[in-house]
Amino acid sequence: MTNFFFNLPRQFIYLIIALAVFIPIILGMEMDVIPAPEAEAVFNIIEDLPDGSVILFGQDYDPSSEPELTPMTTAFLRHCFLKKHLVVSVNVFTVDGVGLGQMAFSKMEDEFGVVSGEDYVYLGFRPGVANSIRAINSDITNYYKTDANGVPSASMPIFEKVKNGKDVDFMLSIAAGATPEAWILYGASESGYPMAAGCTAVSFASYFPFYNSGQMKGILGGLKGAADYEELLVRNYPEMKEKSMFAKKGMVSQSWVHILLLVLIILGNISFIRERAITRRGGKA
Amino acid sequence: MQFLKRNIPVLIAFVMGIAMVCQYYIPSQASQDFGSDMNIWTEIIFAFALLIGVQSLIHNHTNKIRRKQVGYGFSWAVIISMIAMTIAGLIGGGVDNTKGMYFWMFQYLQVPMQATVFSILCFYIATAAYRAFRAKTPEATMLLIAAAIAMLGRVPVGTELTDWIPLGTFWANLRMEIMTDWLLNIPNTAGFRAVMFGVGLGIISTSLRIIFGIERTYMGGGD
Repeated sequence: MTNFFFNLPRQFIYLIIALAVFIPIILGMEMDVIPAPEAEAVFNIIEDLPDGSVILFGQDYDPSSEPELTPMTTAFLRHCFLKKHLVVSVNVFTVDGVGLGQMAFSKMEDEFGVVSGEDYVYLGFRPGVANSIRAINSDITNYYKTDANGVPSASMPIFEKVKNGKDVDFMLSIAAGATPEAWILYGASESGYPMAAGCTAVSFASYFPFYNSGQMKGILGGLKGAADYEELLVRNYPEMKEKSMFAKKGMVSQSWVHILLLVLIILGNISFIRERAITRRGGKA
Repeated sequence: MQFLKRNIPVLIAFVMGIAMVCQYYIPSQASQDFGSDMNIWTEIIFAFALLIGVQSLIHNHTNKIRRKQVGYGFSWAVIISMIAMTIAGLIGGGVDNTKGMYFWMFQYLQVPMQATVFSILCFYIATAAYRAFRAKTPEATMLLIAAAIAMLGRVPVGTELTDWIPLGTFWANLRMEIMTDWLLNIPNTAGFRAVMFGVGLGIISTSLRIIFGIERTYMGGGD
């Protein structure tokens, strides 16, 4: 039995991880979430802006990161539309992600009755990260002649209020890659809008230098960042309790997987120490 | 031939490199217009690069199929998928038509498949953590302890482990979420900042090497 724990077969590890992921989701388990300060900072900015402010939203991810980043997008857009902010959205990361942006805004149309061209506009993708961001700084409709549905942008009512980056009150880039850095370099530094980033858990730590220097006002990191945002939404808007909150549900699975990983690391290290002790004694590991 | 293959590309890289650096720092309208024109040129180049990419992909996979190389069945999958998505896009419109066949295939085939492949990482990380995350040296042990704290501090079950420690006291520093915040804000920020300075200097030196024609690997040929 001891030997089994010290030489766990790969398939056994896959099985217990799968159980840790699926059982909480199937049973619909939930846990209380303590929002992180960097997520609370993003929420407070949106909350404190006067109704009808202009939000620039970089939906900079593709289907690979959809499970981790779509809950964050949904929570953020819900908050924007609850506050009746105007949302101008683009994807500067990849053409693959445009469909996801369409799906997110279609969901918002169903939930809040927002109208494309009036309450929001989704401009889709054009190649070149720096080019697209710098074009937004100078003249949005001159560069994005149509939205992602092919509708001409110049005649849209939303662009009577939003001409370029100078009119933006806050920017959030939810990204699978390094586009938030490009938004700082070419967008926020030129147009002067405050900004924050949403990212996958693996890139979360890399944005802290920007957060601590004030170049980013907040960070939403991975599914936990989305769960934090959902928690803050529910606390401030109790009617949101009725909506599907996927990230909070996912936190139970993530909790158990993290605990399992720790147990596996401890077992692996005990096994390593044991083998080293046996080798030193001259025995066979 | 040498002139066309080597000197002209180096000259273009030099002129455009210097022009774009100057354009960034000149706030006049003429400079802005020049920048906008260059944006359009970049898109045209992207479009040609895409064509070359598609041609290269088809060439590579048809070769594999013709030679019946190991795993050539996957090459069939690539080509059939590419043709199917192209036809669906041409007949029913692209992502601009959310009721079309292309969008349906994107939503119900591409998104779940790509998300699944990425999600499988979780299983590999678990086995890798068990087999490779060993406290072999003092540095590895520190990394292991920091990772364990961060893993617990970022999930509700971890924060619940230490939520009995009262806030506002010295002992509150031992709460999981507070230790995690400290790790992310102090040692992690310092480390990443150092890495970013290094990367920044590397980007500047590589850019200068390309602009001045010292770095020519982008032209192929390995020199």
